Amino acid sequence: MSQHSVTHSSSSGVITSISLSADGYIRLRPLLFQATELQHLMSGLDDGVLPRMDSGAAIVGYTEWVSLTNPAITVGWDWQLSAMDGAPGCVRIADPFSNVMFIDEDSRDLGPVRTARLLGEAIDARPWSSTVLAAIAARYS
Amino acid sequence: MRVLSGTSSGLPAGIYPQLASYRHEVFVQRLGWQLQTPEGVEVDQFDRPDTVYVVAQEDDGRIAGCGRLLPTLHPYLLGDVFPQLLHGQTPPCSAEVWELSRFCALDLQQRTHTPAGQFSSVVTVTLLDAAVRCAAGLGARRLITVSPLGVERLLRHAGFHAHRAAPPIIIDGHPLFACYIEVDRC
Repeated sequence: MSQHSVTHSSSSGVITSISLSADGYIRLRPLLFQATELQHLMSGLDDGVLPRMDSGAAIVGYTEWVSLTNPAITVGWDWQLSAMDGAPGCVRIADPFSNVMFIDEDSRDLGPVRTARLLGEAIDARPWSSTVLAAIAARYS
Repeated sequence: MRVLSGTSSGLPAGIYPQLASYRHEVFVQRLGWQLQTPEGVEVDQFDRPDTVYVVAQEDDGRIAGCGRLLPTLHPYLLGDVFPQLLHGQTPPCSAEVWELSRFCALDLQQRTHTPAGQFSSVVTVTLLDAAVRCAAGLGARRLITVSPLGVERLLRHAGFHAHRAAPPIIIDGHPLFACYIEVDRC
């Protein structure tokens, strides 16, 4: 099913493989995603292209990140500006969009809904807020 | 409203010229796309005899939306014009993958510009669903599109199973990406 793949060393030193399936998904286990470095690609404020399900006058935006692997993992999510411990910060407000399909130990798909939820949890464990704030400040100041 | 589908010669008489005019008003006049088109109509090299169209038509005959389906076995927009959106991947070339392009659902009688661009109408989901069903009937297992990032929200909210083919790229100031829409639903 793979079109092509690449092996690389994860932060744990384990040689792993990321490959692209014929349906366009990169299939991998959640632990491998957690060990894969993501690089900030772009962030922006909500341009109002489409209505959001959330409410009000909050400052909201999007952010995009990619892995350094080939094929590249792409993951993006919407965020909202919020006060975090008295300082401004970004909070994820929806499940991410990506080209990832998580698989279980038997290489079975976890499905798009569960994958998106697990991706969100993995993203929340990463320190991305300050990078997004800096990117927004640089872009809009 | 009804949704029609077929090739240019298979659509009811008069629909295809009306569709070309509608596309010009939407994409060239309203959205300002810089397209090389004949006066008053919007057609390009991908409008061929094998191109399949889906057209939303109001009860009074007005077109309220449209989409274009191209088999990836032949030249198509993503593969020929926006291959960079695939970041080096070989563009799909399969009877099971069809491209959806020139998709819009916009009421031209609404003169006020809305930031939602070509997706402002409530017709959007109905037309998209019809396009997916039409493609499935032609043998597709998934569609691929060149899309703005915001489309993912619409697709998810409407219950479509969609995912990215590769990371987004900013083209003409807008982040675009190649998006797969699976024929199955979540």
